[in-house]
Amino acid sequence: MSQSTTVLGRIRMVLWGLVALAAVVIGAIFLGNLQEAARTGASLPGASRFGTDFVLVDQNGQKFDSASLKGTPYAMFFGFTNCPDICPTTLFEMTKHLQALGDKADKIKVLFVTVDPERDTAEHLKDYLSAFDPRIIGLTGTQEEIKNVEKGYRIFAEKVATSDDDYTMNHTATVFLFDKNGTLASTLSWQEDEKTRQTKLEKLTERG
Amino acid sequence: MKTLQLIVTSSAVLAMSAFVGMGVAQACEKDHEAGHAQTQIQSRSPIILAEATSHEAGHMSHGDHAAMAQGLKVEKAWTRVTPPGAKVAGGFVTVTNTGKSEDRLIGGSFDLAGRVEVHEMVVADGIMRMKELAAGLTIAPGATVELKPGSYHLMFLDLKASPELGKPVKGVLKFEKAGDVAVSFAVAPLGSKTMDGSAGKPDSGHDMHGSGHNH
Ligand SMILES: [Cu+2]
Repeated sequence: MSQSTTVLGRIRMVLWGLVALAAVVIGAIFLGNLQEAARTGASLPGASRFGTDFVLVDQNGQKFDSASLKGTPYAMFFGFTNCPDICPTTLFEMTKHLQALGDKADKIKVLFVTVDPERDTAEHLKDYLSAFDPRIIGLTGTQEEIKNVEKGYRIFAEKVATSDDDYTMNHTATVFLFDKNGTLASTLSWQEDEKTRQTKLEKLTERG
Repeated sequence: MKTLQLIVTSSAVLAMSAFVGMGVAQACEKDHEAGHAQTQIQSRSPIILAEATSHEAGHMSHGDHAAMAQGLKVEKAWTRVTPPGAKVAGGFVTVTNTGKSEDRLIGGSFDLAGRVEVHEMVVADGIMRMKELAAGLTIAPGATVELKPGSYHLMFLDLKASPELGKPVKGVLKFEKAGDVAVSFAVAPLGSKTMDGSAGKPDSGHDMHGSGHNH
């Protein structure tokens, strides 16, 4: 009985070893592919270009052309001002990150695109964003223009009716980081700890 | 590229056979480990903060106060400063059902809001989804339900003004059985993740958005 247990135990150890080895090999290959893609500026495996050209309006009512992003790494996220939690929190976290970056923050751009252009006019965005770092660029446009940007960046956004003929929005909450070539370099998640996010943004400024 | 694929395929096969092997080995040892199978997770947080509400509840003019306070403990009611022009805010509170029957949080009021809804928020696969809990939020007997950022919250709609830091705002929580419970929402800084405002203060030092720095 005890002998058979020992043998089984040994087999188990060997098998675990194989599993670990296989995992490492597979992981290394995928990582290699990703880095390769990042180096050559090619898109990630199995993905066509992430992002699209666009012209929207910023919170000062000025035209914002995505061509102005050429050569500058940027962070981009989507939200709406009638959002009680994740949007103001992300804007707030971004503000903290930009402050922590100090002068390096000038090497990147931070874009907040509304998914609710109906209510989020440039004027309203200006007011709302005044609570956050002034370097954050708020973008709005017509419904159609916004839809196009959402499509190009594969953003999920939908209206959800609530009582009183009102509505709220479900939407992608990820912050996307693009390098100076406009290639998706990384993402920030709300659930990550602050330090991880800060490090990713630091790296982004160095990609400039 | 061919070689890469070869390596991937072979390691995948390797992994799979190893896993199958694991299964067999595991099955043989099942008897040994059966005893460990059930691990009980205990999470009773002993944090008890200001129970402002038990006082507040006393001001209710209607209903039997003792009865409604009997089954529920309402604590840690808070909200936070909103950006200028914001039409909505999140309200948070912790409710413990000390009674023997289920109750539901079905709504309420907030002095600075036109109306209040009970919402659920979930972030999954990078997508934030929020919906109104039309049937209310169930508080089972013995359960403590925490409404908090990133989760259940009171949705304050049609905000008339932004809550001001340190100036508590009165409101009411409406329960299906316990009725109205008056609460006072503490106001934490913009972006706070907890009532005491942790992670809520930007690292100061830099002059930002002209909040009255004089140089
Ligand atoms: Cu909500």
